[in-house]
This record gives sequence, structure tokens and C-alpha cells, in this order.
Amino acid sequence: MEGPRIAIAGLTKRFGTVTAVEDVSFAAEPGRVTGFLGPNGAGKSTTLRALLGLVAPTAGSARIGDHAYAELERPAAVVGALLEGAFHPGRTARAHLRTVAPLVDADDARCDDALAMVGMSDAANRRVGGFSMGMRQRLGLATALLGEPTALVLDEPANGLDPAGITWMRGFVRDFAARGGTVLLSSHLLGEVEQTVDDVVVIAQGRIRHASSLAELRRLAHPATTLVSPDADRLARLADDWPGSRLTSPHELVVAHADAAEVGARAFAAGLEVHGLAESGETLEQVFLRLTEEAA
Amino acid sequence: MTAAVRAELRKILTTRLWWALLAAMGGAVAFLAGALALAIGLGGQQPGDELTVPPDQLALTVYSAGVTLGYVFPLAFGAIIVTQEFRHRTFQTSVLAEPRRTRVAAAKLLAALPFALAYGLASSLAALAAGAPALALAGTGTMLDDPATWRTLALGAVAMAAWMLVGVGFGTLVTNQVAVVVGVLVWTQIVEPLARIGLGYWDAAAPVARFLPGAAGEAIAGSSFYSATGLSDLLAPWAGLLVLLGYGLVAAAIGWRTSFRRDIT
Ligand SMILES: Nc1ncnc2c1ncn2[C@@H]1O[C@H](COP(=O)(O)OP(=O)(O)O)[C@@H](O)[C@H]1O
Ligand SMILES: [Mg+2]
Repeated sequence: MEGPRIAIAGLTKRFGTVTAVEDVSFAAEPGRVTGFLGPNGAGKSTTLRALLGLVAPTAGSARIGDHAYAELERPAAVVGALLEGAFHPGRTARAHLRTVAPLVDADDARCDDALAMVGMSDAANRRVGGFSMGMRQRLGLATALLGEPTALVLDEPANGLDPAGITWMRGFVRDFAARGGTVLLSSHLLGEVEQTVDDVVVIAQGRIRHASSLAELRRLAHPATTLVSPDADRLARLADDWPGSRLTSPHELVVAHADAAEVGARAFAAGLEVHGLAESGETLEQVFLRLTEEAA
Repeated sequence: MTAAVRAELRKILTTRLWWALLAAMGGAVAFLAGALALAIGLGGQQPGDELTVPPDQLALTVYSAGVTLGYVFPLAFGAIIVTQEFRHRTFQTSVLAEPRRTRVAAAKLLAALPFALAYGLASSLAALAAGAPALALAGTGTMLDDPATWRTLALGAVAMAAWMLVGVGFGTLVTNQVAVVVGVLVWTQIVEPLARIGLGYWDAAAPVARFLPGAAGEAIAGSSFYSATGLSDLLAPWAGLLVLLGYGLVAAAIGWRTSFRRDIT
């Protein structure tokens, strides 16, 4: 399988006075899983919906290979999309797939295959109205897979999945990319997709803040030292006086760009009882948070 | 395009709506036809009654019960097959697979056609099956040997089918399901009947009343309770069909230019 390159260029979308995304550009390469990360309301869904032709961009464009999505002959057979659940509750899982099947040239056997691929064969004849969030996500993925696409665009695929489901989804997506497919998936939690993605694109307040491989993102981690103290009052005062430090709990202070000697000295000067002092460095999640919180 | 129509047909056939409303319509039309025959036939019209149905019109009034009173069912069905796509967001899935939204709209209209005919036939059959025995019971002629009866039944079926297409048009225009269903009920059960009775008493306005959608539908069948009782006149059948389909087409065209073009978020 050879997936298409997905490229978004200068995408801006305004809903009335709300600018949902502004001048967004990035690419997702075949054979790799690209994580599109940002807090709620950052503009992830708007970007993906513009990519899929559901939302008309105010400016800019999105391409799947050489074409806009709507120009593809059988788009759903090129790109499988998983968006927030869209099912009629009165239809069974199989009936839902059969309503899409004619448009992607899939027969009934292919519908059953798609259900089997997501582990939903047993629920094929049950009505969607009774499904859990996790089952809906699986059925949404089966819908995406129906046309045997070479690219997947998944909006918050881990939402509603239990830990076993997340592990399963991770394996599925990794395997899809390993076979040459293109995967673009969004999440508001880096931790959720850290073990899944090869590349990361960080968006916040409608603007791209960072785009690189996951390995390069790791290298952005600042050195940092964690200080643990039972004296919450003094610790809070120390945090107030020290730009670059951040309380992660009432008893734990993380100081960026500082080594243990420096933090230990300040604690001693402040008369603080110290129960722990460790050079930790920022976690990946902290790097992600910092990137989303920094002013654009 | 055939793939899009097949997808739309499957959407209709995989939920319970089509047969639930079909069954409800059959029951309602049969009841109305039977009740109308017995009430007017047995109720003994007094010479002084304000609303009287001439004997030769009675049978036709009964056989057109569907068009007069039961058209809300195909109308609601046509609207809901569009609005439920917006309500449950399945429109998004349709557009992902077929980004040419005009085709999605056209496929919906085409997929509704066989159901429009089925509802039309079922309505006329129900009016006949309940109306004829009730007319016989009431001692009034069943008029089954009169070609006018069969003409009314056949054109009544056409009128019901046209109502479904009007429903698809209005569903396309007002994609909010609750708004459409409430609107359809209020218009068909309250606003139009009152407007027609009101306008019927006022000579200058009577020609206007003929162009109301309900009156246009009855004009197709060529008979109705309202016209038989002298409350309002009807257009010619062909003009009625054009007026009624016109309402549907105008609504569909506006909806196609507005709701079907909106961002799907
Ligand atoms: N249809 C809409 N009308 C108005 N504002 C919208 C609409 N859709 C999204 N927005 C706004 O655009 C911004 C980005 O939303 P979204 O793309 O859904 O973010 P995310 O998926 O990252 O949580 C938000 O401020 C949201 O309120
Ligand atoms: Mg979102």
C-alpha cells in the first residue's frame, strides 16, 4: 500500500467573527503516523473537516496527493475518515455500513470484513442506539475502512476507548502505517498518542506552534529540577518569587533550567525542609503544555 | 448516481420509519373514510344544515379521505428522511462518500419516488377498503361501477405521492427535525383548515384559497370534503399537481442553495 501525502497550506477558517484556525500549514507523510495535537477548541476538528471537504475554508487549501478531497473520484476509497460519531440509533451496525457501502463499491461481505477488523462481528446485528462510546468509535473506524483506503484521518480516535481499546487502536494504526498507509490523527492528550505517533504537529488557539518528529520534540525538553517539601506555605512563596518555577502539586515544585545545586541552595536559603530533590528534565507532556501555552 | 440512490434507498429501508408511518397512514385513512361514510350517510342530513354533501359527491368525498385528511403522513415521511440525516449527523457520512452535495440531494429525491407511489397506493386502497363497505352499510351507493370513483382513487394516489415530494422539499429547506414535524402538524391540522374555512366564507378571497397546498392536493383528486360541502372550490387536477409540486420544488431549491451548502461541523 502506498498512501498519499496529505498537505495543508495556509488554511484559515472563520465562523462569523470566530477565527477557528489561522494560516495553518503542515503535512502528513505516507508510512508515518502524524499526531495533530492541541487543547480543546484549538482548531483540530475544523482543520480535519476542511481537509475532508466538510467545511469550506476562508483561505488556503488542503490536498490529498495531488487533489482536493472533493476532486477525488471515490474519496472515501482513498481516505478513511473517523469523526465524531454520526449514526442513526435505530440502525444496526451492519445496516449502518450497508448505507455507505454502495458509495465506496463495497459488497455485503466487505461490510462483514470491516466489522471483523474492528472486533465488532458479534455486535453486527445490534442497534447502534445501545452501543457504548467505545463501540461507536470502533464502528466509526469500520466505516472509515470500508472503502479500503490508503490514508486514515482520525479525529480523537482514543475518545471513549478503555485502556484495552486504546492499546488495540494503537496497534491498528501502527500496523496501517507500517504497511505504507498515511495516518493523521488528532488528540488533546499527548500521553494518549505518545507511543503511536512518529511526527507531531502542535496547534493552539488556531495556530500551529510546532511541527517535527516526536524525537525532535523530546529534544526540546528543558533541563529541570523537582523539589519536594512538606512545607506547602514556604514552597508556594518560593514558587512566587522564582520565575520559571511551577507548582505541580502543593508539595512539589518543578524549576525549569535549573540544576539540583541551584535549587537546593535556594531551598536552604528559604529555610525549607526538603524531602526530595531530583534533576528530572521536562516530561514530553510538559513540553507539549509549554508549547500550547506560550504566546503565539 | 445509481450508487448514491442505492445508498439513500438503504438508508430508508434500514430504519422503522417507512413502514411505521405507512401503517399509521393506512389505519388513519381507513378510519377517516369509514367514519366519514357513516357519519354523513347515516347521520341524516337535515335540509337546514349549513354543510351538506350532495349524494353524488358523498362517495367521492369518502374515497378521497386520504388526500383531504391523511396527507400529513407522506408529507412528514418525506421531510423526516431528510431531517434525520441532519439530526443524527449522518449527512456528514453521505458527504464524505459523495462530496458533490447536489447529487446527495437529487439521490434523496429519487429514492423517495418508489415510497411516494407506495404511500399513494396504500392510501387509496385504505380509503376503498374501509369506505366502500361503510357506504354500503350506510345504505348510500358505493359508486364502484362509476369511472369517477376509480379516477378519484387513482388521482388521490398521485396526490399523496406529490405530498411526499413536498415533504422532501421542506425537509431540505428546514433541516431541523423538530421544527419540520411541528410545522407540518400545525400547518396541516390547524392553519390551513382554518384558513380555508375562513376564506371560504369571504367571496373575494376564495380564489386565493384554491392555491393553498392542501387545496391544491385535493384538486389533484378532484374531490374533497371541503369542495363537496361548498366551502371552497378547487383548481383543475393538472393545475393542482403543478401548484403542489411547485411548493415542493421551490422549498427544495432554496434548501439546496442554503442548508445543503452549509459547513458540516
Ligand atoms: N460551526 C461553528 N461555529 C462557530 N464556531 C465554531 C464552529 N465550529 C468550531 N467553532 C469554533 O472554532 C474553534 C475551534 O474548534 P474545533 O476545531 O472544534 O477545536 P478542537 O477540535 O481542537 O477542539 C473553537 O473556538 C470553536 O468554538
Ligand atoms: Mg475536536
